[in-house]
Amino acid sequence: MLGEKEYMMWLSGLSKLSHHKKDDLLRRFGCAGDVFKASERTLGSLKELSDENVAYICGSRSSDGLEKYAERVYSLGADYIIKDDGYYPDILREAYEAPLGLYIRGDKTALSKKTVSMVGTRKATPYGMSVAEKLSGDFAAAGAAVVSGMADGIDTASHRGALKAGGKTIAVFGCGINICYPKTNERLMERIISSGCVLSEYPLDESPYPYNFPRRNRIIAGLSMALVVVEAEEKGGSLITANLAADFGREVFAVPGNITSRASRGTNELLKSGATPITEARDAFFAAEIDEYEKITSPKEKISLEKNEKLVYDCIQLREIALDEILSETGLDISDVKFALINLEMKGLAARLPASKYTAL
Amino acid sequence: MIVSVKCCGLEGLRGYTVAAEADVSKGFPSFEIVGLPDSSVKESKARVRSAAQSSGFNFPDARRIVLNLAPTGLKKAGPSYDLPIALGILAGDGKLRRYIFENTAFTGELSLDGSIKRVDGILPMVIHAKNEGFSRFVLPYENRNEAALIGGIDIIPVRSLKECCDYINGRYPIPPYVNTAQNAESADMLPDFIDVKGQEEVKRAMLIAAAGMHNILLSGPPGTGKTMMAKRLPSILPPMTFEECIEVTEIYSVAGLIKDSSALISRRPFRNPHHTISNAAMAGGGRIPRPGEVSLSHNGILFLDEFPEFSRDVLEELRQPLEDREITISRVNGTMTYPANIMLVASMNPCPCGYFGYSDKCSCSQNKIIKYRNKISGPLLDRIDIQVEAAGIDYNKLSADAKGESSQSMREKVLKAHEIQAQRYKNSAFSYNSRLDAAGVEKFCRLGQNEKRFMERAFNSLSLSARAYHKILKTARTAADLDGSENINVSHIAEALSLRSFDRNKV
Repeated sequence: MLGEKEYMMWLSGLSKLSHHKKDDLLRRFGCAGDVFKASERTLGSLKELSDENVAYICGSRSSDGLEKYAERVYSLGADYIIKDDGYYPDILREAYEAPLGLYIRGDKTALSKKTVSMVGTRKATPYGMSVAEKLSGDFAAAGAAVVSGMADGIDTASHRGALKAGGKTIAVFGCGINICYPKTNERLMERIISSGCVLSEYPLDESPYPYNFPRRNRIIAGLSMALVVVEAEEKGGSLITANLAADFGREVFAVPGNITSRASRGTNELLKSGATPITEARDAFFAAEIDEYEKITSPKEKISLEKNEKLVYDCIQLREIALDEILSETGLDISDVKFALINLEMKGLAARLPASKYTAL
Repeated sequence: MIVSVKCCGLEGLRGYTVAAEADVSKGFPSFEIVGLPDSSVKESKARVRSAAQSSGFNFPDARRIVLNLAPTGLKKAGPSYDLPIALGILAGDGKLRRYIFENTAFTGELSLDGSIKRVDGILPMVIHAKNEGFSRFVLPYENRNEAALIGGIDIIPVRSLKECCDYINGRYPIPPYVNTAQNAESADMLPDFIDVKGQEEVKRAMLIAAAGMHNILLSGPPGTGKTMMAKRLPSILPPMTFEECIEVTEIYSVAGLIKDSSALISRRPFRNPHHTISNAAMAGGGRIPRPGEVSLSHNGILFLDEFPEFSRDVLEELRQPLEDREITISRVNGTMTYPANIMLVASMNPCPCGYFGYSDKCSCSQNKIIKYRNKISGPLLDRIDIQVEAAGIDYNKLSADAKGESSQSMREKVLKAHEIQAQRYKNSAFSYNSRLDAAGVEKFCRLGQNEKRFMERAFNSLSLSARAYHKILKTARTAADLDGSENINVSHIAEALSLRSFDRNKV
């Protein structure tokens, strides 16, 4: 049986029709089902549609085809939520060019949570990756759902952080939800679906065309109550998303970075033009309307450190520091330093970075 | 009149006796060599004829000469049969006394002017001849030092066919050669770790690697001294025993890599083939397979710089020798097994551009980095116990006067650890921690309650893969041995955990 949901799948999947024309059609006919059933003459009489458009619409109308397609969507365990659906997030509905509907796989209730979007460059530095993971973990622990795009770099770290903290996370795709892009994130995608959800406005099998991503970004921006840019280069999708979020009236946060770092140029630029600096998850709680402050406990206070561990911890707190330097600064034996570092890592106070460097968390 | 002159053929490192039987008789004039000679042996006809004439003999051109190389079933190759063939013909022609041919082996390549040139593979030939009960080996003068390494058989070095014939006829006695000046290649001549400033973690990792003969992978950007440190690794390994020296020398002898001046190879081999190396050059090959780089590194170090740049086939080839400590190569002309008991030292950049994590200038995408690292397959990585990252170069360190630990003192520690291991494994077939199998790990790397808990916590909080478990225990065992500690304690485990950087660095 075809219902409004399925008809909307059809309408939103008409890729040659602009979003405006689809909106106009919906306004005129009231629902997608009526567009589907309208006669060719009625459609032809509309001044906003060209003859080509009419032929395209009529050529794509096949009840059998649509039924089969919908069947495929449901057999994937996926669903489609339209604007009238209770699950369709209100904040997204308010956004400019809000999608007609969203394909969703996973837990729909994730959409009803408070949301924080986290975006950033694909070529992230270890600093960016660890910050993204930490912030996202804290947001998730405070009960918010972390929204991102499942790209390499910051996106991946953001999803990972939320999953590690046992929270909800939402990935918005620029391709069909049956396609994993990038391929290397296949396992991450499975984990996101099992404890959160993946979303896309694109029909199944849609390839990750480059021009899909700027449009995808408007959903990430639209879904966010607060948007955090962790690391961004001078040009790139993250800044587009930040601009969109600002246009939608959402608060944009940027993580301050080293002014000499390539990957922090964009975020530092954002800060100059008025974005709010963020150094801990709490900074964004007000904007994201998160009130579960108490859930985040400061773990550092409870942990007791041994003498060597304290020496080493003092060393790594200042900056990212190489093992060789820790040795010369503490004057300890290499075995002792390594022992202290492993212990600090296991206590969650230190992280090992590439290049035999360490940093405090 | 038939004469049989004994010589030696080689199949890999195994020698076998070949009899050059010459029949010089009346009949239609001809000269034929039979017994599966390859073209290099067939060509010896021309050399033998000229050499004989240059040495003042009349070559029996007018007679029928048949020369058979027995056993006839095995293929004979190389110029080392020249001398036995020439002697067979001359003796068959009645120009030489024959009593000597009973218990003497001969080998040598002839030059047209009658001089005798060096041949490859002398050492295994002499070993074989000695085991077969020959009392004398007549061989090229240039090969004398190499041959004299083996006692219990008289080595008679000869410079020319004339000299050799005079010796046989008793006109020119040659005393058995004894090598008095044993060349002493000592570790002192090797580059020293004292020159390496900073890089304490890598140095420590190398010390542990050497102490347990663990394979090691170094990662770091260009110019951090990975190659420099790898080249210093031989200086902290204890010297080879005489048996090990002979094993290595045999391989080099077969490969034709022995220089006359340094007959016995007493220094541990250090081979660093270029990454464009072919399969055959790495594993061994050729029509009659010769030892490749894995065998030439036997009892020593095989250093592979730019590890991921090696062709995948070449790298996968290493898996079997790393496991079995020998390599078997099959070619048309036979199957050879060469020893390959190596310590693998590999070095690589962290990403294609070389600077990931070290400098902001790295522009490699995550995808590219993963692809680059995936060039090294899991099973191969599984055979490498220690992975360590070089630190980025700090220029203050370079100029500092403070010197690092010297190779001498590191070598002493290694030696002590080796002794402990030899004692522990005296009833086993192996003598290093790195050679422990799963059952051995259970037996020799037992952990106390405290250590078990520590290990468990570490695995959970550091996201290590279960595959790393045994390697960490083996490395921890070596760290404990370096410490002179009977039991593995938590700090040894921590040390071993920190030497798994590759597992732990998510891109």
